Amino acid sequence: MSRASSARSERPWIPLAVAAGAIAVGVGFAFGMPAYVVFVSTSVLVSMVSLLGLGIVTGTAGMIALCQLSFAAIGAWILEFLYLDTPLPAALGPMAFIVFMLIAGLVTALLGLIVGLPALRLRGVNLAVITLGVAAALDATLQKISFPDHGVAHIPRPFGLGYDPQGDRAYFIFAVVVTVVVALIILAIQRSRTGGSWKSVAFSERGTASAGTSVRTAKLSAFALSAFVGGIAGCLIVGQITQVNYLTFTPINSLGLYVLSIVVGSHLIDMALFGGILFVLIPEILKQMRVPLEWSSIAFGILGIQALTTNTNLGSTIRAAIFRRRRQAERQRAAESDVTSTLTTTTHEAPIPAGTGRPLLVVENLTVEFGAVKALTNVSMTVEEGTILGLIGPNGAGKSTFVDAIGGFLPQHRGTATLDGQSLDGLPPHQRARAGLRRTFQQDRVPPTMTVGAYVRFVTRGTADALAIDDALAFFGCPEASTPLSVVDVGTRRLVEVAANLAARPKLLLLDEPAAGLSHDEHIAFGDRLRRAPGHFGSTILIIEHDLDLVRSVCSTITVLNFGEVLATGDRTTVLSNPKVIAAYMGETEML
Amino acid sequence: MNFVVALVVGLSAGALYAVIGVGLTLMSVLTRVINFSIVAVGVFGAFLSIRAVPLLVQAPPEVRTAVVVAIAVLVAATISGLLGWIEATWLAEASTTARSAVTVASLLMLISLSFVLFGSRPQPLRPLLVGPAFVAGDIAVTKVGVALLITAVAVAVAAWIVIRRTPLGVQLRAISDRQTAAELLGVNVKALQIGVWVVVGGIMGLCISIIGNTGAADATSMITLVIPGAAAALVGAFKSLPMAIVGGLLVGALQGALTAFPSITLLRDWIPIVVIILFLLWNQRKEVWDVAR
Amino acid sequence: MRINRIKLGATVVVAAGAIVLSGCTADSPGSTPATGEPIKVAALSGLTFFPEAPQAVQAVFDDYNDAGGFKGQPIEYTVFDDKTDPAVSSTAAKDALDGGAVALVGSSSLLDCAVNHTTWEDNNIVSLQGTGVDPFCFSTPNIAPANTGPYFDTFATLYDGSENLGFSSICAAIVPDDEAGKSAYEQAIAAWSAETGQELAYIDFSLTRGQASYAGNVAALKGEDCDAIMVGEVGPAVTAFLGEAANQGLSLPVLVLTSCYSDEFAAGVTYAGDIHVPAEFSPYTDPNDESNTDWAAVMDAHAVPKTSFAQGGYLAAKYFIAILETIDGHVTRDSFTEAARAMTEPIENPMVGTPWIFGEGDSHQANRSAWPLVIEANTNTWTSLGPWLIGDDLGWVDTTTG
Repeated sequence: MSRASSARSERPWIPLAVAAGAIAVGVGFAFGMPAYVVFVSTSVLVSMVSLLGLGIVTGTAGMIALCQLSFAAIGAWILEFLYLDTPLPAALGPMAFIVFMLIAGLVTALLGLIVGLPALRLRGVNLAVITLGVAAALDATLQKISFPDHGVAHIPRPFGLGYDPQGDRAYFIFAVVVTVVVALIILAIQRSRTGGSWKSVAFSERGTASAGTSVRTAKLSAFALSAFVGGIAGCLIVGQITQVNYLTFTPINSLGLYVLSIVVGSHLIDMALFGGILFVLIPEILKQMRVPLEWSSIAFGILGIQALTTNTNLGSTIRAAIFRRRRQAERQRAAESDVTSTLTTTTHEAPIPAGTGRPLLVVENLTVEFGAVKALTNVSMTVEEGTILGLIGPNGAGKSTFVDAIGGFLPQHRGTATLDGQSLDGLPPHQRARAGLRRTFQQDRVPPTMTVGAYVRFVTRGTADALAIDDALAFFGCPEASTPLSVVDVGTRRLVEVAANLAARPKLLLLDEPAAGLSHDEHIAFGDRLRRAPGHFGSTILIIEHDLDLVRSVCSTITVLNFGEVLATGDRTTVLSNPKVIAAYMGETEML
Repeated sequence: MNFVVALVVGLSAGALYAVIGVGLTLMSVLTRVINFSIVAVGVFGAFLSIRAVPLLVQAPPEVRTAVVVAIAVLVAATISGLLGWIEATWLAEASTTARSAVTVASLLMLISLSFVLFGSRPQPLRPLLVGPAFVAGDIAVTKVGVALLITAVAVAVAAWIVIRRTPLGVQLRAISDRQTAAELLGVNVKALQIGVWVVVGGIMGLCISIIGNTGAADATSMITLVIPGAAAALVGAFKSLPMAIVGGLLVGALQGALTAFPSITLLRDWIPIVVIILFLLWNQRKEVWDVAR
Repeated sequence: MRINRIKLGATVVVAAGAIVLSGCTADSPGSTPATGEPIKVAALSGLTFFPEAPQAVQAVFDDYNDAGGFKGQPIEYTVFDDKTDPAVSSTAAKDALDGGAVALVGSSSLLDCAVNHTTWEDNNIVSLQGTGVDPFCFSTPNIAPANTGPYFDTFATLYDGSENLGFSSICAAIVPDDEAGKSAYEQAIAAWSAETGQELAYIDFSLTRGQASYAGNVAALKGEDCDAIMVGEVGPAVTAFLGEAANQGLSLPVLVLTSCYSDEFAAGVTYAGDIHVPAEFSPYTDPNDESNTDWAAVMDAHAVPKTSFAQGGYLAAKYFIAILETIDGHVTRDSFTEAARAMTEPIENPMVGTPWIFGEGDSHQANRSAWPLVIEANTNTWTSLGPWLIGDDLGWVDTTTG
């Protein structure tokens, strides 16, 4: 079952076949339809490319950007500048347009990078306000400097295409090819680790960093690629209209594009393409009915509010429906062949793993202060390679602070930490993760926009192949790789998180209350798997847990924290019978 | 041009940004939304109210003005309340981003509707106040600027008193901090939130009536005043009312002062936004992560 | 899937509402005594900026069709909204050509000429512009507007100010739109300087469309030594500009362009100085005016608002019919264009100071006349001053030649 699902996600020829089909349809359309329809349909392609670009930042990476058409304006401006104010067109001949388009895209990407810089500290609507401000400022600037064409001449089209019906048809095919190439590139990137980092950063920055991915790179790459595609869209507009002015790129149009992006869910490539059709079709229908075109924006506004109030978009609604049907069909098949899953049953109980005797993590004098409050005071600890160490203590003892500090999320701490002889001091979280130190979170940090398999691939940073992924998922009894995480319940997501991090085969994995939300039976199964994990994955584990039964059943060594200090440490029976530990736990219900 | 003149003129314009900034901050704090439609509802109220003038030709001018302004306030409050009702009904549990995105969609609608309803013809929306409040040489402080600054400060002070000193304020703080807990305590969250929308909408209707057609060229340009207004609120990180007022005056003063240097006309559009971004980056330099833990 | 239906439903509702609310832009069906094969004409207009220009054209054509049309052929008129966006405008141009239009009549737009003039030339179709704004309306072979345009307008405004009203130190604040517009304004100003020997005391080209506040521009003007201010913007923007000027205590006389000549402008403005305008058509607000009698009757009969844009549309339609009636054979795009170019006798109309002609030539600016009016300080009505300012008498030579 699992293998079949992995195979389904690995059929790279499908997008290429769809792309080839799309180009064939485009050619047929270009010569089969009236000239006017072909010309208008070029606008559909331009909108598609704009939405594809916006989908990267707003849909995939979850940041509100209200300046997508500003990027298009910059791209268009650069293309015109290169054509009219440089000697390059003569030198490049028929290839000039394509070369200029790429240059324009790259320069726009650079500017996108700059616009994206504030996103490293500013989030959500703050970022929305700033991007809107940028859009307004650029609008005023473009009014003053105006486009290089000065409304005088037609900017030449690629390959010397004319501005007549024949040229319109050929340019449409050119635009189809550009759109298809852009869509393919974005699809490939979305399926790559970079794409995973966008989806991850949209849901949680901490989760992204602890998967070994730089949050900064994720955000800036999203902005840069989005701007690049925006610049390409601007060039396509110039090629279609052969002249532009600032009114083509007003902030209001950017707002409209953003709202449309919400309606269709433009991070999904097919939906971005569909949105492009809507963006042109609705005004076109209004035009044929002789209705002022402003009504199309009003329609988009209503659709946007409808989409937001129901918290859906066309794309995910359709996908969820398809998934449910597939699920149903599979379940039916499974019932017919009468195969029952035996994933959760285990044959014999594994022993508590013994270590190699080598110290893996050495922490010395770790101190963390939040203002006047000391969260951790001179905590020293050694984790032995190949063991499972339990870190326990009453609420507020500093356990999670310890994990945060070791994970690199509290750079202000004092003291030192070394992993396998390598100093961790001063390293940001994603570099600690790459050095072999992984962690999971108490809170849900698993992005629901990915599938289980894609998430594991992202967390392992591509080191695990399909077999290894299926193995890790089966090891913890997780849903199969093709399951969307959005349909997985929160408790199971935590298991997927643990499985994914172990599949990355880290030297040390810090688990922060991984079993919260599991039933008693699941607890027992989880404990058994955990005991076998160091042997199976070659990782050492440090676990924070409130459930002392679980701790007792998996850990060879236990460290107790109380009021930010180490209260006791040693093998589990000694520590758990220590009177000071019992005193610290008085009143805590989990004890005994 | 005299730098001081330009600065004073800029401060007058900044008073309007301050009012918008205060309104935005208030809504952000109390209803978890950055209301991009905040100016649009005011503009709609004011521009629709003048449609009543032909019905009032018999009335004395003072009565006519009072009725028109009252209509502007009512219409703005109603549209704003309608938006608030949508938010409170369907998006009560949604994220700030989703709630704000609704106001982006409604902004798009209102801008387009303003094209349809008001076109770009001159509108006889006479301002409530005209002329300078006081003059010293070339320096003139406009009545509108003074009135709006007073409004901004008055709204901020009133909000502070209501929130900190009255039982209603306790409830308002409760719904913004712990909405579910407030519901369990029997606070009518929905009504309170819609109430905030109505009040802020009404204030915007009043402010746009004060400015009349002396600010921007048409309804759409006026609606885009939300951008410098939001910039003002950003200075206070959508949390601090005094900083929103400071921010508004700062943006206005920057814009004004920069007109004293005609050679940098291109930079004039960029300096305020860049200054605010830099300020925020400095102010939020510790916000390395999206959540505290 | 359910969600899709809801969304489609919403679209339909919006679209239906749109039809109801806007049911005045399109061809009104009804009994047309002219029943032959229709002669198709089109217009590209910013419907939100100039709604009444195409309505005025339609009114003239309706009356013409009712009276039998052109040898039994009715005129079928289609208006495309260009949304003041070049992309939309050029798409609409293709749409109009695709629909078989023989000519464009009464287009009123801020950018139609700049975007589409080469398209018109490539397709051998002429445009009798109602209200042309950008310089390409007055400097290209296939476009001939009924109005005077902002560049002659600027010249006439300045001339009236310096020569008739006696201002010697005029300051100006102008929205240039783009480089082409800016240089066209500069040429018009230079022409005025050459003719009168006057110079502008100060000029501010930093205005932009849709500016949120004119405080800075007004403050800058106050620092200059001006005895009059020329404001080069459209009506609503001038209203805002003058409001800000009043707030800062200014009351200098103001010279504005023809687009400010409307009842709404007079009703909305708040200013303590005289506001002078030279209008591009004869003054319809003047109770003693008789030149607009027919125009006013047609507009009233078809419930079209009476504005200068409606005057432009009406004149463009009348000019179209005049050219149409010189065609002998089949009315096609080519035959109409040929007829327009073959014009030798200009068309007289009391609504303009100079007769109108298309004719040969690579540029057309037939209307070179303006009628001075004023809104006196602290009032809200237009007072007609006159007499006609005629371009040839003022020494105007076409400045916008590409």
